[in-house]
Amino acid sequence: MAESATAVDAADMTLIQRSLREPEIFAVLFDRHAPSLHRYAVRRLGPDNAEDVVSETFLAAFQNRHRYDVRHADARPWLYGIASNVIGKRRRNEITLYRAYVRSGVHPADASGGLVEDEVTTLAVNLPLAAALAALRPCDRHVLLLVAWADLTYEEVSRALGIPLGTVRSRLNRARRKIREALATLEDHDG
Amino acid sequence: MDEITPVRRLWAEVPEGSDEDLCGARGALLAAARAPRSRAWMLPVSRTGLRIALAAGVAAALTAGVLVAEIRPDRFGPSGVAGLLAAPPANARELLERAARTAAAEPERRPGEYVHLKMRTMSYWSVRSAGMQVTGTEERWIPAGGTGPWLRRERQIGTAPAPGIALPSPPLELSKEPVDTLTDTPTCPSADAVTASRMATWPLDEAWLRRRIETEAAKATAISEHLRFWGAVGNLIRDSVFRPALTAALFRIAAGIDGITIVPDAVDAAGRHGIGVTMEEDYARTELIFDKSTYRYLGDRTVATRDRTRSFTTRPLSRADIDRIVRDMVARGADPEESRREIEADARPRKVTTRTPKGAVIGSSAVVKVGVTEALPSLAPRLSRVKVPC
Repeated sequence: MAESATAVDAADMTLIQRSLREPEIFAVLFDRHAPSLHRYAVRRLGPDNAEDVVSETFLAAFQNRHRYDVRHADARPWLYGIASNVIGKRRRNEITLYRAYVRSGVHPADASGGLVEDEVTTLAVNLPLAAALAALRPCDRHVLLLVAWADLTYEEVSRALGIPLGTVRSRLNRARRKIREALATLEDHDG
Repeated sequence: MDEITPVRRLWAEVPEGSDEDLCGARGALLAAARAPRSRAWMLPVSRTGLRIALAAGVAAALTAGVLVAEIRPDRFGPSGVAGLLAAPPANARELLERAARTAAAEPERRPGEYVHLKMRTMSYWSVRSAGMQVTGTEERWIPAGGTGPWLRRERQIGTAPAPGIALPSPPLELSKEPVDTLTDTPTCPSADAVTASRMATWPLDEAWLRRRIETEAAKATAISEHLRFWGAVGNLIRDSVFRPALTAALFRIAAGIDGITIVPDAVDAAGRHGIGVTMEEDYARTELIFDKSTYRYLGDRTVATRDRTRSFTTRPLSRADIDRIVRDMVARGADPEESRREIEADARPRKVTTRTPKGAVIGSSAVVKVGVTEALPSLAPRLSRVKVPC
């Protein structure tokens, strides 16, 4: 695209504004954020669903771009907020994925196959972790994974999900407590 | 132990989506972007060529924004007009419309009062191969009824380096004493000049104002044609702050200009952050800056967006100019003969090169106080009087 040449350095907000008149500019935003959003979706839903999540997220974002809050230069929280809704609609797939992992120890995105010793140790942590993720309340899971996997700050999570900062903190605390409990059980077994 | 870290590590080896992973989604997005706009939610706005979205939900949101942005007209002062934070403006047009509502709600001044404005200013000075930012204050006393002279009082405060250019050496001396300029009201009604006292009596009729702006824009032959109207409106907005009803009308007209965009964070000459409206120009960008929640006008800023070097030949100084400058220098204690030799050497036309680096603040202002006084203050010793010719 010819316009990409001048758009690659522009802030997300600028691109979104420009896309109101030049819709194709939105593809620059896609190229910037889709790869990491895809990774986030693979971790939450597995590779089969990830592309659909990315596609639905960006189509929804494109159609709602005129509602973008222009005070924010970085569109990531906005995009991950939309993605959270899209992923939320596939909650069952997400739970199934975590449970399948707990049973088999193999994440569907893991193409390497067999386990090396290091990974066996890792599994000892990861299996109860995945079980705990599956057991979290959906709204707590969104907050936890936006922080842990999408690297959003608390303020950004608050923006992404449209919830107050205090709610972000309380949901995250609840999620952390559950994770702590799951890992404590593990330590008990080891001990 | 921190519970987030093991979660962070969980499936961290999953790579980012590759082009192959994403090509379907990208294709779907581009197809949507290239599809003819659905009339259900996109409506071209006439005259501006801008498109604004009118999905049912958005239309409702915009209306809600209008309602909650209503302000109490009885509040006026440095802290701004009280207003509630609505959804942020969707585009520059809407921002200017909100700014117009805020300005329109401010009280009109009574004839007989002087509106007293206090501003912070910043400008860029090119000095030979060097350059610097000069900060200052400006005060204006303008008769609200438009009769009688108005006063401008300027003071330079300090200098600061501009990005990417050395400060002049030796440093330039600033005039820290106030310099007053008293401008008389033109006596003939046909006088074309824009003066504050004239603007006090301008009609608020949009068509009339538009013609007036076009007259001003036509004078700006040094800038690209499509930027002239925007430039002229900006100048008038800066000068109309003493009369909010006029500023409001100018904001409404500016809202209709093609190609204006929002700057989410703009800084005025007092260092206050606001939301701006701008238009890309060839070498610079001029922003009108507003409070992010009340949309009250804060000030403006013109920043160089590219390095620019310009050369031109100076106009030869007349004998009278030379005499005046020598007189000034002698008054400050310089040797008369040496001064004359120096000035006569400078009086011949010569080539001057100015350099404006990218990022330099070419000009900026910030309205920090708007008040009322009964009369003009006593005038400063350094005073020029301006008579507007008929």
